[in-house]
Amino acid sequence: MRRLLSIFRRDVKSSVREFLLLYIILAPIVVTIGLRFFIPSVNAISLQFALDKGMEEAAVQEFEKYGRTELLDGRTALENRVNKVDDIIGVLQKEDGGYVVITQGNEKESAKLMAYQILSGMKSQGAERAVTFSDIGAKISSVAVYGASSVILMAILLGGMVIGLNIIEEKEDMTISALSVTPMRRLEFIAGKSIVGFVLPVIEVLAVIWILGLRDVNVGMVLVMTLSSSIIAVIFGFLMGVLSSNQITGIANMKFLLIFVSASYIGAAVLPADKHIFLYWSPLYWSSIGLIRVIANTITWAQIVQYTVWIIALTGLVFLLFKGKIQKGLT
Amino acid sequence: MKRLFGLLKKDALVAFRNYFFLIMLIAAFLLIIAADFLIPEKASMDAKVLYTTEGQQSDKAKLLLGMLESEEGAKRADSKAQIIDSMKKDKNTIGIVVRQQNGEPAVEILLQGYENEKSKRALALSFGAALNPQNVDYSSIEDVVLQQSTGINDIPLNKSFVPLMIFVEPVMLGFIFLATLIFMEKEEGTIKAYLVSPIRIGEYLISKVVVMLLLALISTILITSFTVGLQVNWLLLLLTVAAGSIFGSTLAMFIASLFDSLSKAMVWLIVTSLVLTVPMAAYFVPSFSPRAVTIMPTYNLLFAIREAIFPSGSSMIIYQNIGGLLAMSIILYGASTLIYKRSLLRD
Repeated sequence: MRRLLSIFRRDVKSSVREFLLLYIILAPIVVTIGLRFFIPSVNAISLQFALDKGMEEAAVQEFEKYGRTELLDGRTALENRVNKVDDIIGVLQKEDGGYVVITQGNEKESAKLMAYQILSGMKSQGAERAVTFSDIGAKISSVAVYGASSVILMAILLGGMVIGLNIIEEKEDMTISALSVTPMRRLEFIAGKSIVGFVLPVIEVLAVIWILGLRDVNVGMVLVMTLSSSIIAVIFGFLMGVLSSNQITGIANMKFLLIFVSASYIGAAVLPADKHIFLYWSPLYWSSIGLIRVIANTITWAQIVQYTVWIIALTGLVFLLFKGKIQKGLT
Repeated sequence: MKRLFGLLKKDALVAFRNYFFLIMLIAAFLLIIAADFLIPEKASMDAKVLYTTEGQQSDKAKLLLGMLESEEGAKRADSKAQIIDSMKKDKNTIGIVVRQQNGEPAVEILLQGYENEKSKRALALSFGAALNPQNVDYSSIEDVVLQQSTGINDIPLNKSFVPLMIFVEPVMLGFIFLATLIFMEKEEGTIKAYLVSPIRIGEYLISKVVVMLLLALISTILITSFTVGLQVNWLLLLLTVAAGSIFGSTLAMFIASLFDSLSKAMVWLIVTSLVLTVPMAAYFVPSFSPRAVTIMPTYNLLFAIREAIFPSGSSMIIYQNIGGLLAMSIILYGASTLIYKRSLLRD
C-alpha cells in the first residue's frame, strides 16, 4: 500500500511540477463555467424579429413580448439582416398602416406565422386567456443535461490521458526499466498509476455539479457512474501509454480514442432508441447514456447497476484482449 | 520552393509513420457509416407534443384537435398522467390538455419548468388564435419571401449532418495533429538545427499547415462523396474546408507556441476545440444566435460548408468566411512565427 501511494504521490508531484495537473483540473472547470453562462442563453431561445425603426412604438413593444427584437433603418437593412444565416423575421409598417412580413424562405413556418399572429393579435387581444400553463417541475434543461454529462465524460477521459502521458514520459526517461529491478510488483505499479485516474474525475465531477448548481442530481449515482466510467479511461490510459513509443504516437492514439468517445456520446444523445443497439459494444456508450440519465434524473439504481455491469464486462474484455501488450509495454 | 518541398515530404512522412493518415481514414469511414446507415433520413429535432382531451369537446375544440392531429411530431395520449410520465422520461416533450371550461374550450399547456416567459406567451398566442379563428385577420399583412426556394428545409436529416461531420473531423483535424508535430521536433531538438540551416522558421511552420490541409481535403472528399454524392460545388467546398483547416492549424500553432510541452498545450487545445464547436448548437436551432456565438469564426464556417454542399443561393457567406478565416490565419501565423523565433533565440 505504501509503495502504491508513493507512485501516486510521484505522479501527482511530477504533474504539479509541470502544471499539467493544474491544467487538467482547470480545463473542465473553465468549460463548466462557460457552460454556466451559456445555458441560460440557450434556455432563453425565442423568436427573433428585425423591426423597422419607423414602426409604431406599441407594435415594437408587442413584438418584444414574444421574442428578441432588433431595430433597423429601412427595408434594405431589414432584407440584409433577414438574409443572414440565422432565423429572423423582418417586419415593416407601410404608410397605409398595414404591415410587410419579410422572410428568407428557409425559416420555420411557425416562426413566420407567429409574426402574423402578433400583428393580428394587436387588434383583438384576450383570446390567449383561454390558455393556462403548468409544469412538471423539471429544473434542468436538455442543454444542461448534455452539457454537464459531456463535461463529466471529458473530465473522466482527461484522467486517463494523465496516466497515458505519465507512462510515455516514464518510457522516454527509461524509469520503467529502472523500476523492474526494485521490489515493486507490476500490479502495484499498475494500481499506483491508476489512482490518479479515479481521484481526478471524482474531484472534477463534484466541482461540475457545484458550479452548475445541479442540486437535484443524485450525487451517489453520479459518483458510481463516474468511478465505473473511470475504469474505461484508466484502461485506455494504459493502452495509450504502452502502445505509444513517444508523445506524438500517444496523441495520435488519443485522437483515435476520441473518435470512439464522440461516436458513443453523440450516438447515445442523438440516435433514435432503436438504433442504440449498434453502440452496445462500446463501454463508452453505457457511460454516456448512464451519465445523461443520471443528470436528467431519469434513472433508477437497478439501471445504474445494469450499466455498471456492462461497463465493467466490456472494459474487462478490452483489458483481456490487450493484457499481454500492457504487461509487455510496462517492462 | 525546393526547401519547402523537402520539408513537406519530411512532414508528410512523419504524419504517415505516426498513423495520422490511417486515423483520418478510419474517422472518415466511421462518419460515412453513421451518415449512411445510422442516422435516420427523417426525424424531427423539434419538441415532441403530446395531447389529450378531458370531457366532451365543442366544435371549436374539435377544430383545434384536428390541427394537432395533422401536426408532425404530435401524438395523442390517453390521459394527462400519461403525458406527465412521458415528459419526465423525455425532456424534449411538452403536453397539451384540451377541456371545456364555462362552456368554452380551454387549453392547459404542460411544460417542463425551465421554459422562458417569451416562449410561453408565444404558445398562448398561437393556441388563442387556434381557438378563436374568427378573430384572426391577416388581410393587412403583405408577405415577402426573399428566396422562393432555398431547399434547406428539404435536406434529409442524415445528410444535414454531413457539414457538421466535415467541420468536426477534416477541418479540426490539424488542431490536434499539428501541435504534436511541432513538439516532437522541439523535444528532439531538430527545430534548433533549422536555425543553422537556410530553412526559415516560416517555411518550417507552413510545411506542417500544408500537410494538415492535405489530410483535411482527402477526408472531405471521402466523406462528401460517400454520403451526399458528387453533385456538390467542389471548388467552393474545398476552398471553404481549406480556409477552415488553415485557420485551425494556425490557431493550434499559436496555442502550441505558448507552451513548452505537448501535454500542457494539449489540455488547452482540447478546451479551445470544444469552445470552437459551440456554434454547432446554432446549426440545428438557427434562431439561437447570441453575439458571443455569431462572432466565433466557426459560426460562419459551419454555415459556409453547408452552403457549399447544399447551395441555397447565399454564396456570399462562403466568400466572407474564406476571407475572414484567411485574414485571421495570417495574423496567427505571423504571431506564431515571431514567438517561435524569439523562443529559439532565447534557448
